[in-house]
Amino acid sequence: MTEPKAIVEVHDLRKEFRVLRHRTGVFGAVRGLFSHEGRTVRAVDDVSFTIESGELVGYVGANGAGKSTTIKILVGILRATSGSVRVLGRDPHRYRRQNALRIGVVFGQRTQLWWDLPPTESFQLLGTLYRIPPRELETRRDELVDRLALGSVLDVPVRKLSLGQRMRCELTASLLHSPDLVILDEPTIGLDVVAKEEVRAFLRKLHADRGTTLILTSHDLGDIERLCSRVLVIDEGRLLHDGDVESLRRLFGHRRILQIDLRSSGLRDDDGRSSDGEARDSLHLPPGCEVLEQTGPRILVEFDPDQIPAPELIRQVLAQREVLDLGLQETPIEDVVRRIYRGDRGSEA
Amino acid sequence: MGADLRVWMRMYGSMVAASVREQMSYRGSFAFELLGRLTVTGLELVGLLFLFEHVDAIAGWTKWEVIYLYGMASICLGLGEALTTGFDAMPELIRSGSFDYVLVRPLPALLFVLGREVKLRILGRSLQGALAVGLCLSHLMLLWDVGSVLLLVSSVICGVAVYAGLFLASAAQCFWTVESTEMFNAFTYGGAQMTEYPVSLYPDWLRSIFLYVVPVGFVSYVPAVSLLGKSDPLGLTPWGVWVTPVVAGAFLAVCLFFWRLGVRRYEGAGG
Amino acid sequence: MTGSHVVSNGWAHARIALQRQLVYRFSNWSGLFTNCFFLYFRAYALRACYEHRDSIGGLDVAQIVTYVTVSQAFLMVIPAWGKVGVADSVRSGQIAIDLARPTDFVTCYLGSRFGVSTYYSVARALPLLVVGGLAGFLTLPPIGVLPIFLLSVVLAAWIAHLILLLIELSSFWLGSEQGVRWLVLGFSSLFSGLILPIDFFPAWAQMLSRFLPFEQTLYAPTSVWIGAEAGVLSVVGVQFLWAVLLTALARTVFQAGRREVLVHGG
Repeated sequence: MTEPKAIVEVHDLRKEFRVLRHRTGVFGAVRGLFSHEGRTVRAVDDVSFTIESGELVGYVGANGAGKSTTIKILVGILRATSGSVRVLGRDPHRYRRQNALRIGVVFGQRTQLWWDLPPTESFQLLGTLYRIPPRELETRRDELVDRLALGSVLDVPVRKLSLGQRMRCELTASLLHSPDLVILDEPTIGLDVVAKEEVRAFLRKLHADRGTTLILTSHDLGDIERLCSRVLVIDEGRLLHDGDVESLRRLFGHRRILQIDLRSSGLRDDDGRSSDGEARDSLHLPPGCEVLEQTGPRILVEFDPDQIPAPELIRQVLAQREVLDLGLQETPIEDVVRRIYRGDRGSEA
Repeated sequence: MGADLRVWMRMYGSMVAASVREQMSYRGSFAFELLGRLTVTGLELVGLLFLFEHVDAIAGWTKWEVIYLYGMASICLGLGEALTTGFDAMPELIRSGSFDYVLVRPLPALLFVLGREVKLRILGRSLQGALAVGLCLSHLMLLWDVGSVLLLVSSVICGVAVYAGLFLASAAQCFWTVESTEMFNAFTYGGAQMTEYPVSLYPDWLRSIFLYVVPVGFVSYVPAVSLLGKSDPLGLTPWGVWVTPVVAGAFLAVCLFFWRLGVRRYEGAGG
Repeated sequence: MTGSHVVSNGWAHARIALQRQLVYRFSNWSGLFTNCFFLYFRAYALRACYEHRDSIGGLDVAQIVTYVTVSQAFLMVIPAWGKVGVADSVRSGQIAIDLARPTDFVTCYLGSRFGVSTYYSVARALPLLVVGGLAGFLTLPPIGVLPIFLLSVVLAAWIAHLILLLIELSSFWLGSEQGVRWLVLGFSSLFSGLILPIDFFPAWAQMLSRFLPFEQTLYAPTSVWIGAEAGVLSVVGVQFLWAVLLTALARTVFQAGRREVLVHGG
């Protein structure tokens, strides 16, 4: 079989939805069944891109930007309104079942596992569905279970698993049939830092070892930065950016946010001055920093780690103020999108 | 296409087998529930027997003939229900969005949803019905020939098809609204209740609904009239006997179309 | 806890449950639709039995169709089936929190269940009586009987809800109450007179029925409506005795279940 080099080809993809006016009450619901009043919303608007075999692509955007819609079109769940889509050389909607044998999908907030059964049972069932020979299934499962450290939860009913454990089981379930293309829709959503890192490490290794083509949506830039070699940014259905992570990093200036919670009262009460006002006035920030927001005792400072490393910034802040708590955050995806709109090239110059 | 179907049926079969294995792992509660369900249908039958202490016939149908109708209704409803327990998960699949996963499987969505769960304990109703039919056939000492065996078997298949179609339609409704609706119960459980007696005793408008719109009555009454050799005031036999599989097939096809329509709606709409 | 406190507590639960149910949704319309079909099926099937006779088990044809209408109308008010949430909370462990509440469990339970019944009186029973009336199935009782009928409905609902509670309390010991639920449904649909009026039963079955609580649920008020042989007041009296008996039983079983939880942990 001759494998086309392009695994995913999307040209001028457009997807429109009819949004019906919501009615309340019994008669409203009944009328809603018959009338088609409403407006058309364009969820994906003339998007084009090509993904080659072996790429690891991040697909980012704010909630409701059109990420999930694109993903659902790629796996054939939704029909495109116009434009052409080819996945593994075929129309994904028409050949959904055929493509299913070669694609692995994870939808972040849903489950494909049998809720009342232990994960092993689900794996067994999926093995039959995907026509995996028993020996191969066993080897593959053991390999994944080992890598994701799932040994201890294999016999626990899924409903009793933590979110992180469940997500690792979902990954196993989606990869049992050794898919050529893996599509992950928000695989780290709702996970804590440790669980997120486990998932990322696993995906990195999966890509490195097998050269599997991976597409991953996220609204967490950390996922993208640490994993992907190429990033697509979508907003309001339009593709805003398609390039490597370096170019995106230039776009958002590789900036991060330090959250500082000052001890706002009790410390400077001796001289009777308002600690809030004073705190803001006298916090001296080094160059490359910018106060984003200040609410009460909480200050959000955006900084460029290339100009001032986080430990240095923290040291300076601690030297000036009594601090209750500190936190490091990634730049929210919304900010990146805003910057792209502004044509802000950050530290590009 | 034929090869596909064989593969799909094998996938469906292994899902069903897994579901059965799972239920068997709680053998105690399984047996208890089966027993409980048998009690329900068993005591319904006792009610019928009590009634026939007072009357010899209802609308010209004797005790054993009515028991035959009752038994057939139980067999068909029970099998139709057991085959479609997978649909119980539909509102939850749609509400949570997990139906997306159903659509990325290598077998048709319908088979996947059906295969996820097949509750054997629901078969209690069918077992009880089969017992009733067996008893009354031996009691009535019908002349057994190939024709009547075929008629009996096809009557069961048609009945199961109509009930399964109704459960299918009620599941398909979830694509429009996931609010629980008892409306379909009027035709499924209501249909079984109605066809416990010959449909000729109901008023015209009610009977017509169950003969020509939701043909639960048609697939129960027509084969029974023919098999038991009853006189038929409705004039539906003998021609109806040949039409019965067509009626059942057409009804199931309409329900399948409704499901298809629902899936297409889902494929067109956003999550 | 004082008596008036218990009553006002029960009343508060009833009000909340009633408000919750009062959102008259599509599902209720479709439920009503289904009840109407069952009403017609039963009425016509039993009416057909009167083709060659005027009376069966002491009931004439007008009485039997009235019987079917009234019993079908009050089926949801005096339920023989339904989850009341106790078994679920035993399984989830939530019961430990319920047990810690200072309120009386059985009183609160009955209060909230009466809210449900009140809702169904308006949403199901009344419309179905109207449908039955329009279909010509319904004969009204003498006006003086109505208050006794209503009292009988209240007692019947009381008993029915206690039976549902007892079913679910069995999950303290059994793990799953599904088997018991079906077993009880089987007996209650026959001995509550849902399938046939108990007047149609052979003598031995009528005797057996007297020792079961199910006759006191749907059958008792319905027989009051159509003119009970035994006299309406004695029907209500017997119901009252059963209600007291079952309340005591529910309390005892609940206390035993509570000990079970305290000993073995929730």
